[in-house]
Amino acid sequence: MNSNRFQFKRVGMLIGRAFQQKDKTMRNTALVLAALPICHFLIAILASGKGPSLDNRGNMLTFWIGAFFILSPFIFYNLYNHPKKGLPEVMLPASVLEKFVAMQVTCIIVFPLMVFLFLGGGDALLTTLFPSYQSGYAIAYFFNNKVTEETFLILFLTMQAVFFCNLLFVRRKLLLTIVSFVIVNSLLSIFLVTTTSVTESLGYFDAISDDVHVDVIEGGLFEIFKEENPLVVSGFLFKLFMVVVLPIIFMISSYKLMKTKRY
Amino acid sequence: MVKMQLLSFRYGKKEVLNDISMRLEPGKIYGLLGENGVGKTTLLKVIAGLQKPWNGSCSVFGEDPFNRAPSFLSRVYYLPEELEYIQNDYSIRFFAKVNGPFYPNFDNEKFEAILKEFAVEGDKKLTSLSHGQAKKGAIAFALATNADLLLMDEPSNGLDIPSKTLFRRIIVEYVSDNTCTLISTHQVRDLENLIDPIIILDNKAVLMNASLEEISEKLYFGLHASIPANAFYSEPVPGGYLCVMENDDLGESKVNLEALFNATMQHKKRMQELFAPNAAEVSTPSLRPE
Repeated sequence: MNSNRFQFKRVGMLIGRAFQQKDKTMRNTALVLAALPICHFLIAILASGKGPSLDNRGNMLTFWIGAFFILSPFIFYNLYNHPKKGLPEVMLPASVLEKFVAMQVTCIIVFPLMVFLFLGGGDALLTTLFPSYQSGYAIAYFFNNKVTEETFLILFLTMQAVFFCNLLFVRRKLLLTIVSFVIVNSLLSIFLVTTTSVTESLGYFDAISDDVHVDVIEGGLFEIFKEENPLVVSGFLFKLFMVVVLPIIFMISSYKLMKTKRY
Repeated sequence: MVKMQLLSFRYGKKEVLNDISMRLEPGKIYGLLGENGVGKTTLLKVIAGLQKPWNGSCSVFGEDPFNRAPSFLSRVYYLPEELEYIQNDYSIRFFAKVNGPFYPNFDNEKFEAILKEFAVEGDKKLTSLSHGQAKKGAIAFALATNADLLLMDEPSNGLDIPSKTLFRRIIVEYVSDNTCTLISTHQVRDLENLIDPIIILDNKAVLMNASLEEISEKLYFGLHASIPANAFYSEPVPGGYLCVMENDDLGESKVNLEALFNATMQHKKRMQELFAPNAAEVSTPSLRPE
């Protein structure tokens, strides 16, 4: 068999290796996640005599799933591009694509799954054991109210950006990533505000103001409904770029960084 | 196995290697000698695919190392000088457990046997081991991979004197017959009686890539009461001077690596001519140090 051909077996081995290497981190994380709903529950009981509301627990679950989803590259693969500590990773006999896929699978599935299992599971256990104190399951709330195509795409975009920053920056990764995010977001905001102001001054909004709905709070990005107007089409294309093209660009760039990184 | 053609490398504007050409064959333990900063580590990194040549080419098993294809990576093991690549909270046995399965020829029995010979406690975390012990553990793993190309950067650094002797014996005993081993060092005495051929590197060129047999054919290492006029290099030793000179029917002598290295550093051009593939056409030597 050609050893250079993509092999799922090696991807599996790489994922298994990541688990073995981070077993202590994962064990501790699982303990903290399992303890979170219990602490939340106890604090609420002590404060008000009843358990936390479903809204509250659902939001907590959503927050932690998002946080782990976004930060998992830092937790699992923070050493990959280190000039010395990264050598075992880069010299490991597997293709860059296999390593990349293993990293993506670990970051996209493993950590969010852990939050589901331990935080969601802990919450479900408490609800089952103490139905008089709290009702409803946070996991069900999460799936019914929080999982939307929009949130997933935004989380995915953020995670891919973090994944890329994790490979781009060698030291002070978290700080530099936050700074980069702030700078990029500021530039983007300036661009959007300028574009909107210019188009408004040109009178574009006058014609379509009744047909445009801008939903910033729910989706986090502009949701503009009106297909025929050039401004609306531009808005749609911009959104498409942000949630579909940009993550792909980040993924390709991350792969390229892994492929061409010098040690 | 390894073929370099006019390979050049630079870090930014600083040129480290310039037009290096050489070939490495399987079944040999090469000693890569050179002064600090001439690019020994860089050369190993280029061969290992960790760095890309600025110019020229490097091919290993017919592949470009920088592609880092699995077929290449599974046949190469690079042992860096510093052990930062093994996380401190790992034991060397754990390191072998998570990395060994990726090397198709990894031999766990061999790994355990070498650990035993080195008397390394494989289950202790690296933080609990001395630098020398950790180094021995890393060497054990490197040898157990049974890689076809073994690149070792200053492997004897940090080893105590008995361990250096043991290291030489273990290399001879455990390196597979078809493995090409390239050991970089600036402590030539550590590798005496182990390395053959010898490569002496200068950032401008490979000054020498020759077997000990060839070296003793062309150079004579002897003890003299006074320094002969045609000596390339001499140093005072008890009983006279250890001299290195061209072997004009002086017979065979035991190559002294340190003296050879010093002689080469002082007469780079001449040595390069002497050990060039077409050395028979070499002209009269100039003995003035360069």
